[in-house]
Amino acid sequence: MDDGSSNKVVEDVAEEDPGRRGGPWRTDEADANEKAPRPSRRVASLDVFRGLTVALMILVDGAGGEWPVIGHAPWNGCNLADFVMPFFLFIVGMAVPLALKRIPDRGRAVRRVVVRTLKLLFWGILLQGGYSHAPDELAYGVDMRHVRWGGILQRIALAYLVVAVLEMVTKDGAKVHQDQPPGSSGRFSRVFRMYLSQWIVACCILVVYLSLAYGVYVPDWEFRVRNADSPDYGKVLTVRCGTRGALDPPCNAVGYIDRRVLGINHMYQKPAWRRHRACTDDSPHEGPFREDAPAWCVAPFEPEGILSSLSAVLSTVVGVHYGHVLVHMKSHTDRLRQWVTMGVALLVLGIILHFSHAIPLNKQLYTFSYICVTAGAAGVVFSALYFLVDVVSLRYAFAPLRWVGMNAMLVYVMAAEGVFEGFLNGWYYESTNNTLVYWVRKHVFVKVWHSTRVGILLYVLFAQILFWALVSGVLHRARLYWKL
Amino acid sequence: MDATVVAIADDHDDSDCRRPLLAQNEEIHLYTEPPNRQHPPLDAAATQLEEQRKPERVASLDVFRGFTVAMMILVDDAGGAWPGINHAPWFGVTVADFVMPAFLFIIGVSAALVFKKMANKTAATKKAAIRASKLFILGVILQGGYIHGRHKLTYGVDLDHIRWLGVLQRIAIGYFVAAMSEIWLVNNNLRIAIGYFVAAMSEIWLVNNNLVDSPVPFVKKYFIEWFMAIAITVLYVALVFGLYVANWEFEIQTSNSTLSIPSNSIETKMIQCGVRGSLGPPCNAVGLVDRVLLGENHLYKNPVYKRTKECSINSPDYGPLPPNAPDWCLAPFDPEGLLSTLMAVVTCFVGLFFGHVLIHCKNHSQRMLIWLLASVVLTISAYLVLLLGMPFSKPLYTVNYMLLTGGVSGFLLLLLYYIVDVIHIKKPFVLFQWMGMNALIVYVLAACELFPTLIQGFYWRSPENNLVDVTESLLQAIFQSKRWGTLVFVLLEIVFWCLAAGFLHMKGVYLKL
Repeated sequence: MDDGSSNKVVEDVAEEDPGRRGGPWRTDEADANEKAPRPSRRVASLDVFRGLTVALMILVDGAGGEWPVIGHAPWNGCNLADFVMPFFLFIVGMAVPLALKRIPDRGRAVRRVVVRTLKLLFWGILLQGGYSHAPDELAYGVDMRHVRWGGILQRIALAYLVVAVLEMVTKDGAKVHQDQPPGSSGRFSRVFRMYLSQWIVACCILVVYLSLAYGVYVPDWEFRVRNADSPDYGKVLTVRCGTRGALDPPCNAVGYIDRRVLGINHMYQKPAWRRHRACTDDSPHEGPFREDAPAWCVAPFEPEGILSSLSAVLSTVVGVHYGHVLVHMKSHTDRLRQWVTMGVALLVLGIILHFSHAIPLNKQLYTFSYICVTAGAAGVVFSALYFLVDVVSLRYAFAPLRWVGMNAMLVYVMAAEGVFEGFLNGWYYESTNNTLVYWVRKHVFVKVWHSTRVGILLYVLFAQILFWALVSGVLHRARLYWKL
Repeated sequence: MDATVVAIADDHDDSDCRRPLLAQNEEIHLYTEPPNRQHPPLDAAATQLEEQRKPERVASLDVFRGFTVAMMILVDDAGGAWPGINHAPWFGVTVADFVMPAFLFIIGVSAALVFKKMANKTAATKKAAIRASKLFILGVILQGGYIHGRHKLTYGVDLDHIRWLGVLQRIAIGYFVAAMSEIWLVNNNLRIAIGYFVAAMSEIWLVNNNLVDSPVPFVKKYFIEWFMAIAITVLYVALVFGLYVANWEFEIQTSNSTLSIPSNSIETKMIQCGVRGSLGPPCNAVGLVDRVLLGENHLYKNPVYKRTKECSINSPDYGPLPPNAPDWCLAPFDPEGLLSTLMAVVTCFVGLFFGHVLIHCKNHSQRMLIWLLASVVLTISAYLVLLLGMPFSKPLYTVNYMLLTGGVSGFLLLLLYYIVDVIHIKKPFVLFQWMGMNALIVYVLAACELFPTLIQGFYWRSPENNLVDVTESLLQAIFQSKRWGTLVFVLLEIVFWCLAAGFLHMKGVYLKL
């Protein structure tokens, strides 16, 4: 099963921990006093976090269909799958300050950012625009009249571009604050004040998003059913709206803007809301539509739409802040205190907004409460990993995740997008259902456990996640990485 | 208008790629002078020897390889529209039939240079085996039926019907045998003595123009290799003329629309043979060996003899079956079969010889003279064997076909060596040089049509409206001729890949196996 709305990969940038200079006894020394060149060392916990997120993505892609608590929430709500994309955006943001810590040549840095953005867009359209049919069909190709423009990598490209440019623009301003003498009361908020302009931009983004989401008038709209399996195939159906500020599936401003800007033919054809209880009795599983299902159940919707991608930039901005803490604070204690505090605060704020019914958690709309909860969770998880990997030095236990994190693009393309499975399925015996992938899944997992649900789960855990962790380990030993 | 990539004529529904490739881009070092020379050199000899001692790539080898890749793209993609440059249907040779032997030839030349010094024979053997394995696997993926090529948006192959042998597989076998003979069969005890002899002979030659004694140590060093080449040839002739070919049958899927409901059924065809030494399409020993060892399901399904007069009313082009067409027109046959690969290996040995001359002769004139003599001998021998009654046949890779193509490849190498490395006219050939330095990438993407196959996945409204097909149709409309439009399209394609290879060269990107 290929769930196109699941969250995917992040590009790999060279990260360096400036505070780590060979021994823990020197972590508290001020950076200004050291003039010796610092050895380049990647932040291992960031690699582990990225690897964990890739593994989560493979898990929710492969097992989300059988385990609804793992798959995406049909509309409001937040399941395990709904954390993956914000985690990736968080990691992208966190890597930006490390990559742009020193900008000797601004022009070259801009060119590098633009090239990387274009590569992400290219791979995003190739893998999720409809061209790749892996792993389920031995076919490929897409009609450009129906290509899907939005996607996971496209969203990451947009967020990366915005925060990288923002970081380069505000880099000079941050130096002024850095020279100020640190006081005990000012140290906690100093990182905030150093990059105040970034937070101002983030607030502007939030204001624009909220204004559009709650202020845009959504008229009635219609669409032609393109699903050949539907009894309404080819018909033109009308959806009644005429509202403003609605957050329900058919009449929200996010979908309206995407239909106007991207075009209804270039949106995702199998949105998660097909599993909504208004559409199918099998909810939260996917199943046949109800007799009285509303028209919008068969309509397309872009979970990586333009307006929702705008708010997704905020997840990246939070990640950038975590990266700033890593760059500018020299002790583990100060970093962890800053990170955990902010993470918990964001979690509390998001949960309050959700349960007070002010702003529901919604991945499709990328609501503000969703940003807070997922960014807070990312912060807490990363803090835990940082403590375990970089403070307590439990590196070997997390080595497989670190290997995956160092080759995240490859594992994303091969495992999460199913390209490797698609390649293997091309070698069949007598019938296209007789392939190694189907044989392993059926005979090694499903039949052994006498349960499709358990078998699929174990197949994903061992034949995909563990397998690609080992492959990444072999590639790591051979120093082979796919870098954008 | 950007003519990006490959096209194929409408006649070619099966866009299988059947062109060879050399996958070695390693640095080529000329033979270095032995350190303990007893005789002080003459001034002129010293100058030339000093020049040739510096390690450098032999540019003409890259140009040769690039030119061969370009010819391969031309004959493969324009051969459908221009049957004159497509493969000969069975007997005879056309331009296309020289391409694969040229690749095997240049592999032999490069193998001689790569393996002329080995610190560890076992390590070199392992390296050669790994490279040959990679080539073989890549060949199975590209030509086994997994990739469906132009005009199809599908992929995948039934392992029960996969084609095991192909162009890259043949190159892998030829390369491996050449490498093994270079590593293990060369008489290295005479290496130092050879150095003395070559140096002395070159000095004497400069004074007396006397080549009488030069071949003796040369022959001694590579005697076993020559013996091996002759033995393989004898084995091939013995099998081709000695094996008894009995009657054989094959299955064919027929659609019977006599009833109102069409139905597909498997029909068995019987081919009458019961002969020995036949070289015709149905009853030759090459096909017999492949059917026995590989299996009928694993042979090439669209053999070239479908273009013979017996099988096509449009001969020498593909076409419908004429009335009373023999049954073997529908049978499979692999042009890269096992028995014909034996003679293909001998072509690698011919290349090895030319490479050895490049190593052991120290000045341009001597090399070119020996190459010229060898090419003349090969070509004359080919026509002598033709007079004896063996026709040229690329599918069978007959002995005189091997001799003729080896001789022509030698002439071509001689010509390019003279132009590029002797009188140093390089600029006109820089495009071919770029392509030759990244021959594997250009082969996989252009000759095997992987790049246009991927590009055609982006279409507008219907799959035929993609960048590749629209460009070709546009050119055919401009020139108001399908044949000329296709030819221009293919030429633009070749230029595109020359520039692409140049771009990769500038970036320092090379694909090595």
